[in-house]
Amino acid sequence: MNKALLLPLIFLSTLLSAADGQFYINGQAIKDISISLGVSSINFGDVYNGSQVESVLVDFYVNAEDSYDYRVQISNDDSSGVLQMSRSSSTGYTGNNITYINTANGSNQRHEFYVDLATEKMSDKLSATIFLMALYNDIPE
Amino acid sequence: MKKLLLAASIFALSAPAMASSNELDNEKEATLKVIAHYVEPLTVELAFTVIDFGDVYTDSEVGTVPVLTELAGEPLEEYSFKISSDGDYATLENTSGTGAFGVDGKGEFYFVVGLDTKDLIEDQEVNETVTVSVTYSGIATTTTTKS
Repeated sequence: MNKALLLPLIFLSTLLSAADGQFYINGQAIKDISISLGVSSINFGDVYNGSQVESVLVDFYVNAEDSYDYRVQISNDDSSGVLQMSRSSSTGYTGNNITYINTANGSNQRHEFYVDLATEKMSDKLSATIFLMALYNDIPE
Repeated sequence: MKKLLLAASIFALSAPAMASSNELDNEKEATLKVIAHYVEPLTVELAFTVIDFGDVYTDSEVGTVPVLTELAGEPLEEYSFKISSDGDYATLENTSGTGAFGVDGKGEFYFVVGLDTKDLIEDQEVNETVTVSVTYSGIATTTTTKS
């Protein structure tokens, strides 16, 4: 009877010694990315079909961990194609998203884009929202 | 049966892991509002397209012709008008002014066209074009709001 009780205990102690081991946890804390926008709204005033409006410069700042790449995406919810955006004041205007990648330097980095209207497509008032997004690109997992 | 249960629980665990990948990228967003007030394009319609003063002679008395100009545009917006001729003999009265569209978006004004006959000589043909131009006077320009 005593022998029978002893046997399972030996097995258990062998199992416990096998669980002995080490592993390492590595990780790097990086800065919380931030995006700040100086302009909250643009009012193009009165416009009519075919009228000329001046494009409006919008600048914003992104702050992220030095030497890390981040992606900037500029999009809008206007489906009529009236709202046009470009990173250059004179060319490249599009109603679609603008996406590009930049390398951070650890301090505020200035970005800019221009907003214009394709007034020839207008037949009603415009009320749209532009969304700016910044996120780390290729964060190692 | 046990194997099936195990597979299902692994799948359930992997779903929140995928959802959190955006948080890993530390995504941040900012928004900007863009608005514009659309105004109706202006239309101008003249009561006449041609005024023919018929046969005239030097210093003859010619009756002047009032011309009704009908406008359509954005209700309650203000407009200004200007009337000019590309020649020397048509006389114009009420050549500039301002007005405002009614709530129905309609507006109208008169101007008067006459003919200066004192310098006309024999067989001279008068052929002039009178141009009416109307513009909105108070078109609001672009403004931006700082946050």
